[in-house]
Amino acid sequence: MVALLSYLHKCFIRSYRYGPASFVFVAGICFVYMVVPNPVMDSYAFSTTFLFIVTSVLCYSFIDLESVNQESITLLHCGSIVKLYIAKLLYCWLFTLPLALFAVLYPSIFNKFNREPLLEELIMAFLYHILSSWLAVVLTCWFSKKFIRSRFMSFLSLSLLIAMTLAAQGIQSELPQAVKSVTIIIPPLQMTVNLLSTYEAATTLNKLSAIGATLLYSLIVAGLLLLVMLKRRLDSAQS
Amino acid sequence: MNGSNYLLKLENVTKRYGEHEVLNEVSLTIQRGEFVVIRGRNGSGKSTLLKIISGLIPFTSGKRLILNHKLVIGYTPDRLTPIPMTSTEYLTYLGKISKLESADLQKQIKELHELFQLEQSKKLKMTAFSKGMLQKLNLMQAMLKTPDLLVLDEPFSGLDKQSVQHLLSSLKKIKGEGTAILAAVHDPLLASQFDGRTYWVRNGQLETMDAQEHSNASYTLTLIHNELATEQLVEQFPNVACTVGANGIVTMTVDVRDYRNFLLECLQRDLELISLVRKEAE
Repeated sequence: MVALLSYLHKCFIRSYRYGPASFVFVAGICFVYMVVPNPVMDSYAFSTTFLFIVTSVLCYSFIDLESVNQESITLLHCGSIVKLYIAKLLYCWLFTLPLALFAVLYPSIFNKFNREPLLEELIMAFLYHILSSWLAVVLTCWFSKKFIRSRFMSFLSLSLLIAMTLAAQGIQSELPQAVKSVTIIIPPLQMTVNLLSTYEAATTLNKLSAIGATLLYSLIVAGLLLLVMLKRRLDSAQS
Repeated sequence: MNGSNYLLKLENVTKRYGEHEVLNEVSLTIQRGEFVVIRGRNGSGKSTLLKIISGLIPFTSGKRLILNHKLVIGYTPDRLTPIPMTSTEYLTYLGKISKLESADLQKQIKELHELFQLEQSKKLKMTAFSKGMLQKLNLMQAMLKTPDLLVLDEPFSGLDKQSVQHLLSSLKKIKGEGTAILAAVHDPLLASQFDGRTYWVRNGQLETMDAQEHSNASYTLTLIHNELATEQLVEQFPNVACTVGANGIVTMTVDVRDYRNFLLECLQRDLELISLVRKEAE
């Protein structure tokens, strides 16, 4: 797995595809903290959402990095499609960890808040950041060329999903009572964002359920992806 | 042929994409150290068959049986997409992914560079490689872990004549060491260089290429025009198609049964040959 991760890392780094999204994230964080002071957990709610979007873009540029032919070669060398895709998901998530760390530490180190954040707040904020980036990774993998051949359609569908995820609360309130439960299929990012916005009033159970919901949702989505990959391998509808 | 001593066997494999049937009830057995050539038109399903044999894509129905789970399959797609790495870096990563020991791996990489006559540069990245160099690297990656079965999709594509000859002799050497080779080859002349079984993929089915199909080839000769000699040749070989060009060039097409005598007659009559092209009937 380490060899696979380091190979994927070398390919991604030398492709420079990470550049625009990473730059926008770092510059965006620096820009929003130009105005001081800022509330601690509300600011983290914003950066969690921002990281979710940026991770989607990063993962979208990473997931089809290998051509179909190269992926066939990598698959035969590693011996398992599940192993290959776990490595891809994992690598993409690991790539976002420094971004999450930056989003949590930058405002704290450079005194951008209206008060000193507690250690517990920093740890929880980091945890919510990395969970939201993991959620973005497992969702974005479904928009690879293997599932949607047209890049235009896949980008459009991914944008729609991100918009729905961000507007989950609004969608839920607009829907008739009878179909409200449908919103359970919308990725649970809003739960994390709401919790961070009302962090001081939240109970331990609220904090843990936001983590649990995101973890459960993303594990189901990742599990489904691996199952589909195991069944289809490198097949695509038009190969 | 001992049926139980196979490396890999396909039994009635069918592959469908929606309504479109690419392969229909295909059966094929590959034994250790043999050469199997797959031919067919573009889009006939050759690459799909190769991918199924390599285990890269699933099939709709049928069976794919392998000798054991440790069977090593080396696969070369029709072309390698260049990535910004040197050939050594690329092979080192793939070797490590294949769990090869570091010392053995470096030795193997050096030997493969020597075998395929590719310079082991520390600076030149794959993005600067020629088509032929990429094709050699494509074959090298498939041979990192000495394969039991080497699956080649158009292995000669992009190679110059010298590289083709070198690759042919390398493949014969690899075959001699016990590796079975399965190759989809478009070029009939190259396909005929392999000493092994040849199959055609036609209408989704795998057909053995028989002697009749070999005899359907024809040869087109381009010669400097000599009126008398041309007339005599046409008289002597009534099946020859002859076209006299305005530029003093004559083009003659002769079938495989006549070409040997026809060629000798041309030489005896001191006709100057410009080109000779074999065309395979499909």
